[in-house]
Amino acid sequence: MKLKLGNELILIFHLTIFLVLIITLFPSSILRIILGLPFVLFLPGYTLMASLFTKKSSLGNIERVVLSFVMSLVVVTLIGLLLNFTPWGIRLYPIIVSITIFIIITSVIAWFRRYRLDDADRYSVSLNIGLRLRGSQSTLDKVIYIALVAVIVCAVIAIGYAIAVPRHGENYTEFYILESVDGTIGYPGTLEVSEEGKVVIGIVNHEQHTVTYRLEVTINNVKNNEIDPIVLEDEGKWENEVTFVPQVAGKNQKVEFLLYKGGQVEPYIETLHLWINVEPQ
Amino acid sequence: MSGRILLKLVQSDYLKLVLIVGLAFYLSFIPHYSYPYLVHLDEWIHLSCSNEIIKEAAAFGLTDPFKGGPPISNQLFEVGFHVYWAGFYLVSSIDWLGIFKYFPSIVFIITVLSVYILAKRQGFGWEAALMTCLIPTTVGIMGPGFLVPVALGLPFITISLFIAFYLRSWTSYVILFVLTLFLFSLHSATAIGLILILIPYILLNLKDNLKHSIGIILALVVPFFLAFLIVPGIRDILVIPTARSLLVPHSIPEYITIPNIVKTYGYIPISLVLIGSFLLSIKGGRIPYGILFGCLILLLMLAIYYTLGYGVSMMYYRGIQYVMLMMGIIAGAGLMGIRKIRLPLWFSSRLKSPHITNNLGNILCIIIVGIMLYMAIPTRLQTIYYRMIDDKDYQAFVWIRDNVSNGYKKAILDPWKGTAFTAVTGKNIYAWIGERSEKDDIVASRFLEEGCKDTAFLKENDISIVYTRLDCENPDLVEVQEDIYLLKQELIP
Repeated sequence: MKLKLGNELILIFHLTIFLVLIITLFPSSILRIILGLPFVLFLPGYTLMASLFTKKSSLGNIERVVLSFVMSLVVVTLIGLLLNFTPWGIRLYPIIVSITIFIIITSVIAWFRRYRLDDADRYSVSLNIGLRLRGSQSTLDKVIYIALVAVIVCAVIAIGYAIAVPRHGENYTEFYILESVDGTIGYPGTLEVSEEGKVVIGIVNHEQHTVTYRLEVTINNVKNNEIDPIVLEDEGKWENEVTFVPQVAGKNQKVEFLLYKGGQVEPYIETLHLWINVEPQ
Repeated sequence: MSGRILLKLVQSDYLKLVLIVGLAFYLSFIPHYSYPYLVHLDEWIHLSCSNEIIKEAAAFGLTDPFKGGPPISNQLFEVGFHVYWAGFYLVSSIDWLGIFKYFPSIVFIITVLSVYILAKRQGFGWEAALMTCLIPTTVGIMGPGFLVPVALGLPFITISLFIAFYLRSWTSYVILFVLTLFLFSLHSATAIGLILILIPYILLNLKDNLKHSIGIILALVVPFFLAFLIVPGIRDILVIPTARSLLVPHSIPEYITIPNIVKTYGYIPISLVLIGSFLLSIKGGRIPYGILFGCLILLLMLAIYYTLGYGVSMMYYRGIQYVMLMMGIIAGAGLMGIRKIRLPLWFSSRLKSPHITNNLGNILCIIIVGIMLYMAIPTRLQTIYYRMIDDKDYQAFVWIRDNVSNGYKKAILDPWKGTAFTAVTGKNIYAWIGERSEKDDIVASRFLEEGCKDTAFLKENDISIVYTRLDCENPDLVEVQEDIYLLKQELIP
């Protein structure tokens, strides 16, 4: 059976424009990966080859496919290097616009050169898959063919899925101190007795289930403050100002932040700490 | 008939190619099998360089991503590699871990297919593609298991040979020119390797096909001079030191010796290379001789470096990959030779089992391939790869990237993890181990082992982040996350 696609350059043009729209309007869409891959791995090389080798006899199908992959790498790299010397630089939109323009120009050249050739000489995408699923074929024949195609399709989908979907990580909790939410205040270094010290504590639950935490603040191993309970759903984040008030003057006092899970007596993860100097009032 | 269709399927190149492509993917994926992060030190370096391009939106005039200051040599002479992956990352939005995990295998599939199309026109396409799958990956010689310039350069060698051998129009010289120009920007050693491989073919064409030879020479040489114009400092940093190094004998590290490589590649593939060489020399013609002598030139270069120590070290370390690529093609010719073995008619007519006697070559071929894979797969599974960071390190680095402000610019940590730290966080580091340990690495390790107590050292070197799993009891440091310490803001210059 021979499948003829007609003018594949029009399809490539539409896919390219569609990708530009996806990146502009839905930058986080999975379609960006699905269309982005051929856009940087295959299409520029394919249209370049189509514009240079217009005759059916010049290259075989596999040769054309392999050359398209390899030349796409070349085209994208050289476009990137050229962009370096322009005011736009190597950024997302200049790259997309440049590759799109390249694809359109080479497609037009390919189309123009192809239509100067006879139909018989002209290259067009066709796939001779030799598939004859007719009555004369036994059921076993059909099963073998279908199984073969299914295996190939499954392998391609599996690889695509593995690339597109991030791996499921291990279970853990993030526990950290920030200077402040907007990053403008420093960590307290020197305080007076009874003066309130402030830091922003963050907890992020990556445990794959809801967890109840308890946060304790100690100064030189003496409990100073406690926040209980902090209930976080999976992937839930808690980022809040936590205060402590030193009661005794002295240098290099260790302020520790301990995070407990559920009713546990031992801290769930390693404690965090900072050092403060406390001056008399 | 199902039997006839099965036979057709077995004979079809497409089915064999699907299996070979699967094998190529599997073998090159082994280093990444149970490890989600980048494996080779060089991969972390390249990731840092690509990130630097994205950050600055430029390919030249960048700073060393690790220590600041002038760019490292990779940023100048492998700029094409970094630009491509920077562009790829920006457009596709696939995360870096995914790119470095899966794309070594995808690049290797393209390499294997490019070998297929090169050898197919000589009648041993799938055999050469299969033998190319056996190119090994080790930490020393690198290889198709890593996303590095030398691995990405391999399909460009075969495609350039394909164009030089089979296409003879003005377009072919233009493509060859563009490919060589690209190779100089990607990995100059690969470009030089390609030129060396093509020298015999050019010479063989001089007499009868002068125009073709001149076309290839121009396509190869003009980009070399253009590279001088495009890459700043190439003459002083690369060409002159390389020319000088030709006159000085070099020592060879124990882990990259030719006997070791022969052992890793396998004795059966080497035997097939010998058979293939014999068959190609009998066959004759410019292309078989071009392949054969191209491989011999590279082997000669390796042999001179290995025995006498003279040559360019980079060409020795990376040339091993090009030699194995060429040997894979020649071994394919050897495998085809075995597949075509037929018993003499007078002998086979006396035997009772025509199926076996008529297919003796195919049966031998299946046995040899079976033994080769039986030996090669366990060897590759047993190859040891180092692992620079673990999950805890990676999570800490990501946290620093997302939460520690730009005011904290430089970190000190185990120098072995330094490249990975910069690659993930984009921040500078005090020390990182490259090819060998240096003075800064020892100083950094000692500082961490002594409990990070020396605040003066941190201030002197503008270090404001400490990452260590050892005890760190310095009152000037705040432990903001497990194992992450920040210098108090008032102490940051």
